[in-house]
Amino acid sequence: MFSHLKSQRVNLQLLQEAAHNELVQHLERIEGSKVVVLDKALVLPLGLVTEVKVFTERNIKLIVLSGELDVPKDVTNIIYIVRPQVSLMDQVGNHVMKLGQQGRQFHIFFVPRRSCLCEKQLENKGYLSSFGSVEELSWNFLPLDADVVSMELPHAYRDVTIDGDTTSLYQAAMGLVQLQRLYGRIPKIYGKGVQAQRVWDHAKQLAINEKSLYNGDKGAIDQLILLDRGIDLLTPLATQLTYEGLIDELFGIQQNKLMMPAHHFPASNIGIAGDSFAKLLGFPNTKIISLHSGEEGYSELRNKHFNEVIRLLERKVKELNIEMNKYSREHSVRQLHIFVDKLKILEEEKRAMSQHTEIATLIQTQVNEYTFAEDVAAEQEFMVCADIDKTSVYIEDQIARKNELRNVLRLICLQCAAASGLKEKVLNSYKRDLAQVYGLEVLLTVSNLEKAGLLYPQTESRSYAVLRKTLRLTVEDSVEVEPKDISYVHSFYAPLTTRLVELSLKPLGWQSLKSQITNLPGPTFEDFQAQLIGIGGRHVGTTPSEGSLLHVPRVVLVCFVGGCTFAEIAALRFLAAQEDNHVEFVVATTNIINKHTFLDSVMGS
Amino acid sequence: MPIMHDTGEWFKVRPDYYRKVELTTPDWPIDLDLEYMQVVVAPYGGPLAAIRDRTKVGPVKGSAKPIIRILDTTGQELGKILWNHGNLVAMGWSDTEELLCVQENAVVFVYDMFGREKESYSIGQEASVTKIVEAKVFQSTAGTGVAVMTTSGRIFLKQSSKAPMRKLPDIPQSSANCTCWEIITEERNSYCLLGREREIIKLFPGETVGTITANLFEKPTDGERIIKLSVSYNHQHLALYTNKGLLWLGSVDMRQKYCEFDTGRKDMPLQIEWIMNSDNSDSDAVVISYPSFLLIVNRHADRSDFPYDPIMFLVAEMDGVRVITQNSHEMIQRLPKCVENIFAVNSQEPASYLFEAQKKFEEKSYKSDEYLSMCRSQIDLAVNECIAAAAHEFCTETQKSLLRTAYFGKGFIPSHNPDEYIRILRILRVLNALRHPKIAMPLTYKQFSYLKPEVVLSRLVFRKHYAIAIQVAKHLKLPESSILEHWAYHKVMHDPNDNEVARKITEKFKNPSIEGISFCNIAEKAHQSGRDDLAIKLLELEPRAFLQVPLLLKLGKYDRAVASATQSGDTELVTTVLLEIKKKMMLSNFHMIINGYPLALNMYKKIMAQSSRTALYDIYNAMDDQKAMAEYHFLNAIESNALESNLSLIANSYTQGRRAVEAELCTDTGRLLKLQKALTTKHNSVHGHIPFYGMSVHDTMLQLLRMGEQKEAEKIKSDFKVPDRRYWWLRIRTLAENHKWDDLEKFSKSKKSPIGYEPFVEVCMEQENAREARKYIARCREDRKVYWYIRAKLFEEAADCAYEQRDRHGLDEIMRKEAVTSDPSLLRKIADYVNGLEARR
Repeated sequence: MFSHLKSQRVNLQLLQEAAHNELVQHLERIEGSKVVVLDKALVLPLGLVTEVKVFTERNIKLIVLSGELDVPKDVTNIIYIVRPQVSLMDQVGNHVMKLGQQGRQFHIFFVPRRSCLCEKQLENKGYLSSFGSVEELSWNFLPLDADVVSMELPHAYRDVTIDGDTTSLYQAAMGLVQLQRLYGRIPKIYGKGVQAQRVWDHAKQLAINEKSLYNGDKGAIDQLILLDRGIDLLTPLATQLTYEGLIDELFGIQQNKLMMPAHHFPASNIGIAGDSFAKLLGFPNTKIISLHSGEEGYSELRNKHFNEVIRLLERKVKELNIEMNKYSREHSVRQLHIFVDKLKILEEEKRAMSQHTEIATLIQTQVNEYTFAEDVAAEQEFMVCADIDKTSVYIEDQIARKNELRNVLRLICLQCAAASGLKEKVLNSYKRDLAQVYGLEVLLTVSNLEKAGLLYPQTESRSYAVLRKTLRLTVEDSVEVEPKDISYVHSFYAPLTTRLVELSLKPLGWQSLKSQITNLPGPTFEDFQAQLIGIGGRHVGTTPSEGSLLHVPRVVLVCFVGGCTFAEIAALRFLAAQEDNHVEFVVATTNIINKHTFLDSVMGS
Repeated sequence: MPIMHDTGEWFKVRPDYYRKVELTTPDWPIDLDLEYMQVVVAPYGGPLAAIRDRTKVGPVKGSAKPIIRILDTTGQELGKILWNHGNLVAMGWSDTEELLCVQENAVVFVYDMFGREKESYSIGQEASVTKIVEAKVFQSTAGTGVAVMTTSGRIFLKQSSKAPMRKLPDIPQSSANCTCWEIITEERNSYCLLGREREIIKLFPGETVGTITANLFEKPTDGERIIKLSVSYNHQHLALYTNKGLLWLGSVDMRQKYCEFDTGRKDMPLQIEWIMNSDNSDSDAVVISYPSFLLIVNRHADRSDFPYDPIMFLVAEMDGVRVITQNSHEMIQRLPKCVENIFAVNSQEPASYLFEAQKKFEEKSYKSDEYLSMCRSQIDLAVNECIAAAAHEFCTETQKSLLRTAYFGKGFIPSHNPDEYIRILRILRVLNALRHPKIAMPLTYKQFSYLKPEVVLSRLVFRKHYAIAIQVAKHLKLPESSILEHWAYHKVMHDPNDNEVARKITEKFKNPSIEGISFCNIAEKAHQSGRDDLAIKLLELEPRAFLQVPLLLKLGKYDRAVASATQSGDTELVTTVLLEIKKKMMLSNFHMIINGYPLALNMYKKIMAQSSRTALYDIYNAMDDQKAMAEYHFLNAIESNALESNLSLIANSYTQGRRAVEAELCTDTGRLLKLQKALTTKHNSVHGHIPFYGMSVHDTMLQLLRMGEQKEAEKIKSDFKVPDRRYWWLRIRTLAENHKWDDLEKFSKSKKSPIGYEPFVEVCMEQENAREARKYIARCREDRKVYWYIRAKLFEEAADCAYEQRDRHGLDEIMRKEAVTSDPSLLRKIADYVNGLEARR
């Protein structure tokens, strides 16, 4: 169904198909005509595992959950597909009250787990009895791309750190077990950070009864690296400079979909991704652009530094121009035929290129804004720990101008991350400034940031300053075009997380890394899942010995607990592209985040 | 042809062979005399129940109360029931090996095979009142049913204990003279056949009246009466027996008569049972037992008879009839065709030759090859028959020789599929084990296949043959977990030592090859039998929290439930526990418990934040979390628009929570709000209503400056310790906004700017006043000038400046600007500069 998910070693199509089949099974178990009411938060994620076609083929109408529900009279089943949010249950309850009398049956599918709170809410109002079935669609990890799975939980980091609600960790653990069920036992596990450790502990506990996992040979994944977002809070706060990262930060990519005002794009191109779930959300005059590796040209551009993207686009357009004019003098019918066939491909390419030049132009105008450059410059000052222990004049000026609070807080947090904590005096000064300019309420937001570990008083340890040197987090002679090092994703700063992954790839990498990262918060752990040889666990067939496997790149699953950025993914893809590393990555994350979404999530109450 | 097989037990009832198979000789208890007993036997080698037959006069031994004794087929006593209910009318076994005892008042008592009472139920009010004279236990599609005939001649039946009671139609004319009756199940209905005089009455439920079938006999003599009727095991055939010794065999619907046969005997038969033959119903026969005599008659009216012990009981099986006497136990069955083919005298079948060939081969005789050549063309068939025959054999030696033959024969078949061979091998081992006197479940291969291994396993388990059950399960590759679980139940019920039980159970369960064992089920059993301590011990062994927690809750172990749930990390489970125990506990105790478990505490806070704010406050209070309380008050105050009145409360909480800065800011805000009120009233007359109230310090100052109230703004600046830098920003911004360029310039010169001069440029440019901006660019830091000139689009100056500073990079940037590229003279100038710089290098 989704060809872009296909890959050789860890084919995420399997994951998608499993999720799809689960949905279809649940749907087909319900007899009679039906409508499906979708939680708004699930509309786009649903598009990651299935197609609208699946519903239309079965004559099922799709509706987005809202206060009022317009259901055709003759429909006998109303099926809700929702996240387990108590707040949604009131709306559902209202529907039951209004529509329940006409002999309709209600059903509810929770994604990814049913929730006793939600059920209780319905039960208390007496609506639960109207439900024919309460099911769960155990979609823990959703496939985003051939090498990325995401839980699509935008508030995972926030829930864990601010509210202490570790649901997402447990869910991640279930997801890891699920992945192992599909792709086999992962023999080696490395990890860093408190929450990462928890995820692994739970995953191990959950797999205790999965005997089959331990009986067979190791699966397609050779290694799992679990990284807690909490060990590297600087990266998500920094401005990403890759193409994909910039698109996400400036316009927002949601589940591979980019929604842009249609007037930027020539009318002829509208409606390409028309038959998608995004349409359900009903934004008028919006162009929906699919962004994933299956899209022409995008896989080549997405991970490049924006400066390189512009050059690439220029070159591509030139090449395209030559290609399209090349055969115009040919005469024989056969050759013409070939040319026409090729023209189709070229047209497609042209369409993609024009789309990307348009997006790039839009990015360019924003990047050229003086404020953008100034922000990035300020960030970079912090990254190299310049004047890090004083209140930043740049930040103070931002406050004095009463510029956007989110950005101000982001810069303060970034300074805090780089300084590994702010001096008491500095922190208090910022607090006073913020309260005086933005009002007293800002204290509640600051309190959230404190709980989230983004703002904290300095202690002895200067982990960032140390690691910047030992792990070469900032690179002096970094190049943005045709780079040699992952630091290109932030011009000269290499995300700590990806640097850790990179170093762990070396022989004895993790062992030597262990002593270097003790000053990062949380435990450093490793684990080994051996094959269980019990009664009846006899070997079937022979295992290829380690030696014969050497020419096959190993597959490393990098799991970000608390979210990761496109820049981090780009860095990992860059590492995988280096032949010396001999590695393939699969990224698992709670959500794709960027500086805006990350801040929004932790700031909200 | 082969001599070794004991064909002496074969007998012929033309045209078919039958055989008697000797089963383990029963060793009845010394005080059990079958002669004076009424005996009912469960099929499939099940147990038998015996009670003194009150119709027979015999020596009274022991208690006067009737005792029902339950024995297995080897005479081992399994249990005893001291019958202290009313008059026992009939007994029978259910298909799940339960003993049903029907009492005079139509109450049915159900016992297990160890004599433990399980349940009792009644067959209706009417039967109970009028009392019953006879009862039949029969198999229906719904299970095992009971039919009763009341003193008034009415018949009621229940197809199972759960099924509704049905009343059959009245017997036409009179119920007198009915001599015998039987219940027949036909698909989902059970009906009754009654024998009266020379006719059969069919009572079908739902019909108003019974139907009579007469004229069944061809040449009945006078006074001929049906005295017995017997229905075959599969409810397909009917046998009638008259007082004159005439036997009628036919289909159960009486449309087809197989034969009429004059036994020539005048004595009463004891029992009549059908020998079934699933391969070929044409060769079915009946066994009639008389005192000391056994008669076998087949459908073709041929007979065979044997003298026997004086007392015998017949047990109908699906593939034969078992005969139990005081000192023997035999099975009479149609000789399986495959066995006949091999062992029959002068058999010409390939299997027979193969058998001989193997024997000769073992004897190292050349004749082996000769025999082999005679069956070579049909060796597949021969091998298959040998395997099949082995399955039907009871004698292990014969089994072995047959299987050896099959093994020998399959060597001559290229690419022989050994599955069937292996399957039979495995099953035979199990069957032989079951037939062992210790187990005493003599099953035929057919019965075993019909029952399914799972049922056999559960029967073994029920008889507490755990060890053999495990072996059988392993052998047949069936899961062992249910056996172990049952064993564990048994331990829980009968072993009084908690520690010992827990130890034994863990020892047995730790084997990694055993999957799907639930300690919780066992713990649940322990709980049910009132052993909560043991239950808790067992629960500790359960690794899966989602199974463990519900039971812990049930046991009232709330603390452990919370601990286990939080430890699992399953927030859903934690929530369930919280909701559950909150209902059952005092709030203070509840707070105390969850305080020890951060996850539980956090989840509780989260739930309460959505449902009950006051509960949230309670918990903060209980935990003495002052900062959280401050924020709680703060949030409430914002939502209810009552910040001012709550500020001291909030500040107080902050102070107690050691958040000095926050507290200080709250106090400041209090002062500010007062001031703002005063400002609003003061300026009302001049500027109209200005909503100062609620503005931040910064916005208040901005507002005042915009209004030109510089003094007051400065007062706030000093009152609230607003830094100079911020004040300067405000000043220059408002000045620029109001286009007071002279004032701005004056201000810039009042003293050295704490914010430098770039902000001046910036505010000028916000008002798009490049002329003013230029003044301040000149005062900026040298290295920033080019940048600001470019931003202010003063490219000429920018170029000059860049040239002065030898800033090649700056020049390049200027050249790229659109405004520059369209200005040839400027472009030329810059080009000159570039060249100049190049030249100087």
